[in-house]
Amino acid sequence: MKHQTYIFFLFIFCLCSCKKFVDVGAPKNQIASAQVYTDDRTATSAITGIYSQMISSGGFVSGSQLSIGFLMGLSADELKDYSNGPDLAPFYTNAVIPTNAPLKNNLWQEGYKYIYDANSALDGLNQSASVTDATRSQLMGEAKFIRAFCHFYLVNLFGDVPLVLTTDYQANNIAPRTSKATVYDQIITDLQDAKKLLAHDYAFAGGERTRPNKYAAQALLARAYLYRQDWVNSEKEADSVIANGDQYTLSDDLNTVFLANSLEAIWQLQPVLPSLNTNEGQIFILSTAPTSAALSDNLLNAFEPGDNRRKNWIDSIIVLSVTYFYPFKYKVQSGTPVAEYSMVLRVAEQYLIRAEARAQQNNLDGAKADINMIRHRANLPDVAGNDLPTMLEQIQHERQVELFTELGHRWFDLARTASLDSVMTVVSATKGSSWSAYRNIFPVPQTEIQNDINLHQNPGY
Amino acid sequence: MHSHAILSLSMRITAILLCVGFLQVSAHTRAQSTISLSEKNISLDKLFDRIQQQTDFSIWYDRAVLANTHPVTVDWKEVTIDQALQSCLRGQSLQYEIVGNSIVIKQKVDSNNNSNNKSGTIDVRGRVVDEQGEPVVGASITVKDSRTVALTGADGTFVIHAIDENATIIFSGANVEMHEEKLIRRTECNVTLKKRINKLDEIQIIAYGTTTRRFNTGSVTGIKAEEIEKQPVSNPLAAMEGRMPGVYVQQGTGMPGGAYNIIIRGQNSLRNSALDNGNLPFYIIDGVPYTSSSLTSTTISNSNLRFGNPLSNINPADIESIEVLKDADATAIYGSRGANGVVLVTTKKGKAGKTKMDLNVSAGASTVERKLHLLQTSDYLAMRREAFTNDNVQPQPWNYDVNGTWDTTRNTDWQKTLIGGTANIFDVQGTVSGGTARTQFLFGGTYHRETTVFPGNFSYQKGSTHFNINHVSEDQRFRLFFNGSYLLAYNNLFSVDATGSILSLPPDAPKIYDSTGKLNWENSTWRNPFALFEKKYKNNSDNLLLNSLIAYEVVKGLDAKINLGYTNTNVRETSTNPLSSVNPAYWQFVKASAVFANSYIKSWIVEPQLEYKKDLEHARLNVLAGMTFQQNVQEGQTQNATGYSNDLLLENIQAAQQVSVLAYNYTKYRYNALFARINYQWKEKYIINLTGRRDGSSRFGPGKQFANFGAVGTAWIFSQEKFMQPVSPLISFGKLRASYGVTGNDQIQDYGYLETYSPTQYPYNSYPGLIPSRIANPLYSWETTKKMELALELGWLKDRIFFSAAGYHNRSSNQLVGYPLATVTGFSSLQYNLPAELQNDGLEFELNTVNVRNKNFSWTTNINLTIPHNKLIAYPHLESSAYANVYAIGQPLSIQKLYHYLRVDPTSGLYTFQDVDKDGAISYPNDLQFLKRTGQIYFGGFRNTFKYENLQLDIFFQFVKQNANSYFYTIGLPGSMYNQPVDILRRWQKQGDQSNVQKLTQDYSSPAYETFSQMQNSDYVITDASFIRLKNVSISYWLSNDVLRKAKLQGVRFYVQGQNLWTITHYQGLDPENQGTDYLPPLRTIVGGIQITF
Repeated sequence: MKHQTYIFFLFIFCLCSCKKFVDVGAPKNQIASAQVYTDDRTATSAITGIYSQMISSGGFVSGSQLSIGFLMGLSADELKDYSNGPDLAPFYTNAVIPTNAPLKNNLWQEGYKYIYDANSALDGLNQSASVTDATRSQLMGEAKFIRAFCHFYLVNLFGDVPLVLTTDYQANNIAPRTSKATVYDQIITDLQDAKKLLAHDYAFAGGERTRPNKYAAQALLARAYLYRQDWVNSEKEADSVIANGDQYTLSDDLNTVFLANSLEAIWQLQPVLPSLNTNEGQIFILSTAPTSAALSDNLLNAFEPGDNRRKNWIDSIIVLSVTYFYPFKYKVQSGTPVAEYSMVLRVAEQYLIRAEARAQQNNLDGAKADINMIRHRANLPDVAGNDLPTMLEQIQHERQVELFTELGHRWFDLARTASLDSVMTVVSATKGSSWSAYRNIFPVPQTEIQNDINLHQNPGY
Repeated sequence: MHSHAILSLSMRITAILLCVGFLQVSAHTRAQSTISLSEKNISLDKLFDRIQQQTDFSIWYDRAVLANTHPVTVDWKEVTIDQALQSCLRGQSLQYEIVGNSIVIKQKVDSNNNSNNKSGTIDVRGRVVDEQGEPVVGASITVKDSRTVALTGADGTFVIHAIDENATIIFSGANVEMHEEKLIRRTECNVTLKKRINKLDEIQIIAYGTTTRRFNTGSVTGIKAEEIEKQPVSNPLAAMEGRMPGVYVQQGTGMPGGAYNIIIRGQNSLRNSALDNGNLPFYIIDGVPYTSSSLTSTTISNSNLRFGNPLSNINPADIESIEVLKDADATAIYGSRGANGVVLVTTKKGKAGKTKMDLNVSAGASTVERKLHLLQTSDYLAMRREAFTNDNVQPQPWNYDVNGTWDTTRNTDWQKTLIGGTANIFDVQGTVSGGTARTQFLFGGTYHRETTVFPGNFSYQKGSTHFNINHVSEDQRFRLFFNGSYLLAYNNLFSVDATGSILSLPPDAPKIYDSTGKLNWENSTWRNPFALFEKKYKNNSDNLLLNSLIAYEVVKGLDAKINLGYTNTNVRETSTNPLSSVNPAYWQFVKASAVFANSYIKSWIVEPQLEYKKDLEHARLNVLAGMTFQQNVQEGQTQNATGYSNDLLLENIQAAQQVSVLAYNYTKYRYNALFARINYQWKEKYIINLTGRRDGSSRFGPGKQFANFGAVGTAWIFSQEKFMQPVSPLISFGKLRASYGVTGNDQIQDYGYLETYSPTQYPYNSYPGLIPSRIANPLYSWETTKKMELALELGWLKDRIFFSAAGYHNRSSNQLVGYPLATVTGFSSLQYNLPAELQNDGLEFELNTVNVRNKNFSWTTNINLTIPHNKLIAYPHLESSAYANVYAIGQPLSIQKLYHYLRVDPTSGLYTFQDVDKDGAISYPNDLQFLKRTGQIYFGGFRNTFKYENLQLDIFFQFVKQNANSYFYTIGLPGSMYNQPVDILRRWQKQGDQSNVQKLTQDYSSPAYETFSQMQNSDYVITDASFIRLKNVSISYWLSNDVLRKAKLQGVRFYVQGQNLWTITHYQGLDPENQGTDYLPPLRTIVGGIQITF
């Protein structure tokens, strides 16, 4: 009996001594942040994870119906809304309110999530001693590119926005708005850094144009300068991309522009969702009456007769004797194999950027040459007009018909050239809504104003 | 001899005189003439002292006569002095005489030598035991129509002398039911009596042990098997609804296997969402912790089961009792897990006695009890046309309901079509139990099947088995208990609750099937709701629970125990999207797909304990100390499979073209603690109970893992005090108790303190993706709740009326919340200890009365009432925090901040709201200034039980006073392609109309849509959701003993039971309990059955 007692107490004593019992370490489905940046492959995964999210999220730049391309297409004069639902309809009628769900989830929140991911990668890469220099340089370049890319869209959608350069949530949670100019300064700084850090070719991505290289940084830089009206630098950067002719050329066949790794592509997002090509193909191509959107008459009417883009990039379907037109840049609606990638940056835009930058510097001939590159491919004659206003108008028009339903170009072009008011006043009438000037930028999501004490709503909302 | 006699007499007188000096002769003049006393091995002189204390008798004796006596064990409950003395003097060669208020104890003079010789009289011996085979001590045996009385001794035996050989003897006692036995010349008579325990002395299960209601210092409420068995429910939580003060149980959906919410004494944590709920109680089944959160996959079980409830996997029929521990005294021993209350489930055990077989079969049906009043086609079309007119547009080609595409003469009652069916219920249970005094066993099995009210072949089936064995060694020092149960459940449903379609379908929607019997898609103009039923949801779960308790009495009074437990719950779900659920027009673009989810939780627990019990002279001490080691591992994955060539192969993942992992989760939780409890009872009047626990949990970061918790509970049984004696016939029991202590809450996700990356779902550029999982905060620690309670318990008229009132006051601080962040930070929340303080206080009342109790008829009533209240006490910088528009200091947590609805403007026909900030517009958040309290204001239940001979009737009403959102909160825009409640017929139509429903519109960009959205965010949608529900009616009839004897059965019971039979409410919606219009309401169920015991 005595020894049983002893055994019992010994047992208890043994258990007491397990002080470490409640230390369970990291779970097997996650990896401690410090472990991510210890080798090249895992570190690269932290960057490709961002692209994977970008293309599969359904929002921001995914090409889906909650992405910038689609929502800005509705907001401007490219798409007609057939969803008639509370999420999308307000974009179409230019009546978005601060509690709109896609506004918060897909435009604002998603952009800042990628910025956090990029900042986290920059922190990790800066502290890591074991990632090789070449990989570190490429990955840091990509992280800075992503940060600039997201800030670019945020600042154009919302005006002054918080500029986020750290992962410090305490600071970011009370971040005030940063002036548009300062945000642009940082975008340019980040892209200049990226330009130095990134590789020239696509070998690092196995030859796929699915991750940004140096020219992607320059292409975005050219656009950023253009938006800031820094014509000299804009021309310079676009020049540099276009000059790289063995990597980037305009495809002669319009039907091949959006193919995976097409020669026109500077940066594409690779579809990752199972049994799906691009989200654009999935949502735009109609096989029945539209349930989300179809092309507007405004856009259809903008094409000059004989424009091959009208013929090749637009298709239609007749349902109950109503004809619906839809964007047909992407030819594959769904299924495997994946033939098309979602285009983010392509060289045609660089010609248009350079044309505008040249025109603004009164190099009208140079501008014409660039525009004609685009027009000739569409089987259109040389551009007319010899004065700057006409030329700028031509460039704007060419951008409209070349870049339609791609990442909201039309909306941002109208906004940056201060033509939104005049165009939208007319367009609103056809939409059965009314236009107010303050709607050139979107309201800050309601919950953000609630949670970040230093954020205030845009005027008018 | 004469001198000797004189000497003897003088010696006696001397002795008596001497005794006067020695004995404490008390001059008590108490009215009490009965004795209640429980003593083990007490010497006679001490026992006589006790008797003198309790009565106004003086006991006289010569100490010498006690010389050869032995100590006795007594357990008297209100026995007469005669019975008491007979019982303690039996076998002692002593006898007694009562003269007035004096009792003289003297040597026995054998006078009954020839009793047996008297003609026709016999001596009868026997033993009286209870159903467990335990001796019944102090039972009285009286002979019918005579004054002969005997009492049973410590071993339950009795002897009764010289009675008529054909006499009837009657056995009775304080804790047992009366029993008559006809002798018919038998001289040995052994009987087993049924226990009839005073409510106060019923065993009450508490943390790590048991007590009685009489001596409990904590706040515990519960229900017993008897009450559970009367209810045709398949989740034990359902059986608790309305029956326990302080416990609010709400059925989330009427789907079988669906969700239940339980809140014990209010919301202690600000985290209160379905997926991050810090308010779940701690479940313990036979000493083993059981998961509080559901294991179903969050991706596929929300839209039908609302994630389900883990207790669905516990068979209600296996349960002996459910106890809910509420205050600090009862819960602090669970430390960091006890803040939200503890639910102790104890399963049925075998009992000593004849091997008993029990078979219980029932069958019945369920239907939806209430209906919404919705528009018929004519009104619907008028509404739509008016909306187009108001918007000044013509119906568009896609407005199929009004533009002539659909047959506008159709009128479908979608409620009837979708949820108007009858669900069938079938249930069979069998148990075999029995055993000897030292070893008992139970083995049981159950099969339960229920179908649904939806059209189609859906069902929920459960089969379970339960077994246990209990053994005590011969010397009573070693005890072993082993218990196991295994349950298999198969839920065969569909993936989205079709109830939500009732309001979204126009009444003129096309017919369901076309002429060939296939789903009709009406040229792709609508979504056929029956397509929902094609999408199957299958949930296979199994649940294994094992536990054992091994105890050894090391030295007298000291038990060493170890509690071992293991649980393993597996859930396998399949949710399919077959092509048959898709309009064939889209078949070329979509592929059949399926989602597979598997998850398990395995946990073990080891709890070594030492318990020391000591009976002191006037006191009783119980000390418990122990440790807990616990580990839970949870793992689950959800896979998506697409590209099937055939719908029939959907459940074979191999037949898919492409398989991807949607989610994978893994958590390991470890918990370690040291706990102790000291209980000290003095004179059965004063009780103090101290508990303490040191806890460590892996859910917290290094340095934050350990914390201390503790409580003190006290009770004063004032009815034992002298000053209460004069009123004792009226107030038979009175207790005041109070407790104070600290408990914790660690219900947060695991690993939240760790900074990690998680894999993305899809690889990119041939690299797997990784993304940051969260913003980590290594500094957070426990939420703590300080609980205070004061309670009064009173029994009147020998406890026939029993009343208790408790007031509690709990404060929860250090709130662990997913603190909402501006998403500028990259995330929308952060795990964080918020410096906020919540207060929950409330009053709980319970009244049990025995209104009538006689031989043939009894009527008892139970009423319980809870008045809960909570409020936010402190929240530094609330106005600048994320909760600025959610909470208000000094207000309940259940408030909603809303716009204040004024009226429908007779000119514009639009809802108008109060413009608080006078900026000319209804703006967020400045105009959200109207606070409306939702949730329960008070709730309770009212139960009556009538027994007449072999018939028993139970009627139980549940009542809840509360506010909630009406269906206006969820309806579609009136005028758009959604059906509407008939209330909208009162709409504004033309200038000058006075109405409280605004003009119709179908345009989502119209001002009317904006005011409609504001209305849904205003006090307009808050409605009274109070209800009184006839929750349960149960009628049982037992066959009489005569019939049973002929049929050689122990018992046969026929019964009819009904649940949710009838509801009185003004609620605007389907059901005031689960609210809203998206989920099936709790069903009305009626079953009939038969229970046979062999």
